[in-house]
Parts: sequence; structure tokens; C-alpha cells
Amino acid sequence: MHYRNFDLFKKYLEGDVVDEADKEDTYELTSMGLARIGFTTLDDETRETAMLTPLGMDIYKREKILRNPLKKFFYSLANSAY
Amino acid sequence: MSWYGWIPIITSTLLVENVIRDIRRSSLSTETRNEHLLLPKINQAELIPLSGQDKQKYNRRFDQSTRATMRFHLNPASTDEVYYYLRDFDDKDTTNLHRVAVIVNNDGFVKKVALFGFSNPKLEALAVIENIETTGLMNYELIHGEPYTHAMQLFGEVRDIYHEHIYAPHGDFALQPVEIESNNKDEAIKKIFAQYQKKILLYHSLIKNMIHEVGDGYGIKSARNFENVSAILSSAKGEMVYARSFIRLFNLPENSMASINNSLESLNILTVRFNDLLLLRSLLSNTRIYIITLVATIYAALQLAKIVAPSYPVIFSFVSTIVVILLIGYHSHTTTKKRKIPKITLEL
Repeated sequence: MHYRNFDLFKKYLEGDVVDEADKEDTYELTSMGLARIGFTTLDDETRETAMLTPLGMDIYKREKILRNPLKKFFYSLANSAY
Repeated sequence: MSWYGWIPIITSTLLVENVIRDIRRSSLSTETRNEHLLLPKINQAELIPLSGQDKQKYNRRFDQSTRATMRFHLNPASTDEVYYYLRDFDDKDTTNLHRVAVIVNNDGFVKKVALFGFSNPKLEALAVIENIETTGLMNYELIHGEPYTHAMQLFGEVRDIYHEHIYAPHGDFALQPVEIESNNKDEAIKKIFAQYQKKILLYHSLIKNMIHEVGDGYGIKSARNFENVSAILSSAKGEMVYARSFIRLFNLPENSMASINNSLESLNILTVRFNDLLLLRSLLSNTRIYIITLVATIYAALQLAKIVAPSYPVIFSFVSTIVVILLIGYHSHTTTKKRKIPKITLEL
């Protein structure tokens, strides 16, 4: 995964408003089926929202493990065969 | 300004009749002959099945006065059919639902689609469909609503009616609609295909990274991780197949087809690499089971030796372990040995 998208994964885990600066990256996630896009109305203004799909959630979880050396060690110990 | 979106198809034409027949069959009827309720689309699911009691409650959500308010904005012809349903567009507050109304004409083509509020059925967005070609290319005008946000969601609703969503969950936008000035269809086709080309890079970058991870000696080799790589590989290949269909339907230049074919070939190579890693993981898991069995056998033999031959426990356990290994070896030999093929003699 593009590591620059990690913060977006975290942000959209439980659904959030899409910021203008994140639009392109969010559309990339959506185009691969890792997030879905919706909308909400805040103070009479329509804003785009995004939320991870189950596949997106799995990839976020995997990425989280890879970024934590301790977790990575235990996961690789449990799942690795060599 | 005009909007274009492609309803992905791999058939030669959009199978309108079959789709509308299926929708009619699964819809709930109302008191009005041409008005039907579709099951709610919630939680990234296509349709939510309802129990008998829930169906009655759902029917009450679309009572005659609510439908009349919604119909007022849509103004359907007497021969048109109107479909209503509930949908969760809001990812921040998933309890915030919207009402959707879709008008389908006699030929099975969507003419209008609109979004309304839930507690107050106030019109939030409305699109008029100018044309849906047999190639799946849809041209529409946004009459009311936010230019990009609502235009995209309204296209998604029409697309989901005709397109059985295989490669990605409901609510995604594998291909986004494009906004074009002065009805320039060729430009719209170019812009839609550009999304597929961008996807070639995106998928390769993601898949390469994930395969590298499962191939790394210290990588995560959980079954879930393998399953995810497999899911993304099949999505990527599926999308490339749709891209090929797009090129054929719109007669795009030969080099467009070459780029998609190259991408498919490359994805096939990555699939071979992934399958090798999967096989390796399975073989190494067998080795691990074998070592655990060996340790357990030695321990059991030692315990048995303390009772049967307390003077020579080590020798006894060693011999019994060898016997067990030989027995397992003989069993696997007899079960996997080659079958004798009866010789056939030709009688001339």
C-alpha cells in the first residue's frame, strides 16, 4: 500500500468527512474497493464522507502491525514457518 | 455541463430487460399499481432481507402521503414505474438514512433518480437521465444538488440497478462519473478510460507490496493476509477484464488494448508468484506439524518407558520413537505409492 495513505485508513476506520486535500487519495482507495464514499449534511453544507470496506479494514490492521516492531515480531512468530 | 458514467458490462449490450424483471420480482408492492418498494440498501450490502413484520413497518415508511410528496418532484408519466427504497449514504452517522426514488420507463431504462431526506422527505438531489446506451454509457444532467457529491451518488444508484456488483462492495466507486462541457462524448470516454490506466499503477503497487510482505521471512503469513492478497488479485484482474470490454465497446485505439493486456499478463505473473508462496507456506506448515508430532512421541515414549522398562528408559523411548516413525513412514508410503497400471496388450 502507499504508506502515505496510512493516516487516511486510520481516519476512515469508523467513517469521517473527506477533507479537500485528501480527495484524490480517498478516490484512489475507493477505486480499488478499499473504501466507500457517501455524503453527510453539516450546517446545511453537503460534504463527502468515506469509510473503509472490510478489505480496507484488514489492510489497515496489517499495516498497523507492520508499523509496530513488537506486534510485528509476535505476529511473525505466530504465523511464520521459516 | 453534462455528466457521463459507465455502467460496467462484459456482455455485448446492457441486459436491461432481465435486470428490471428481477427488480420487479424482488420488490414489495404498494397500494398504487406502478409504485414499488425495493428492500433497503444498508451496511455496504446490496439488499437487506426483511421479516414479515419488518416489511409492514418498511411499507409504513413509504405511506401514500410520503410517496405523493416525492412523486411531486419527479413527475412520472402514467406508464412509468417508480421504485422507492432507503439507503445509508452517511458514513459518519450511519443511522442517518436517505430515501431514494427511481423512475423507470416502459423499456426498462431509468429516466430520473432523486434523493430525499428521511425524517422530512425534502428533495436533496435530482438527476434526469438523458440517455443510457446499450454500451452502458450513461449521460445525465444534475438538476438539483451538489455538483460532484450528489452527481456521483446518483450515478451510483443507477449503476447498482443494472450492474451486479461482483468485484467490490456496494457504495464504492470503482469508476467515477465525469463532468463534461457541451456533451462531448469522446472526451467522456477518454476520461473514463484514463481511470483504468491509473488503476494499473495503483493495483500493481498495492499487490507487489502485499506479495513482498507474505514472501518476507519475517512477514505476516496469516491465512487472512493470504486471503486479502487473493481478493485484491482477483479484483485487479476482474477490473482489467472490464477495461478490455470498455475498449472493445468504444473502439479505442490498439495501444489501449495493449496496455491492458500487458497489465493482465503482469498480474498473472504476480499470481504465479503468490501461488508459489502459498504452496511453500502449506509445505512448511506440514514440517511444523511433523516436528510437533515427533516431540510429542518422544515425550509419550519416555513416560511409557518409566513404567515398562524403568532400567533403560532412554533406550526404550528411542526405539519406540523409531518404530512409530517407521510405521508412519510405511503408512504414507503405502497410501501414496504409485498404483500399478494394468498393461493392455493389443490383439492384432
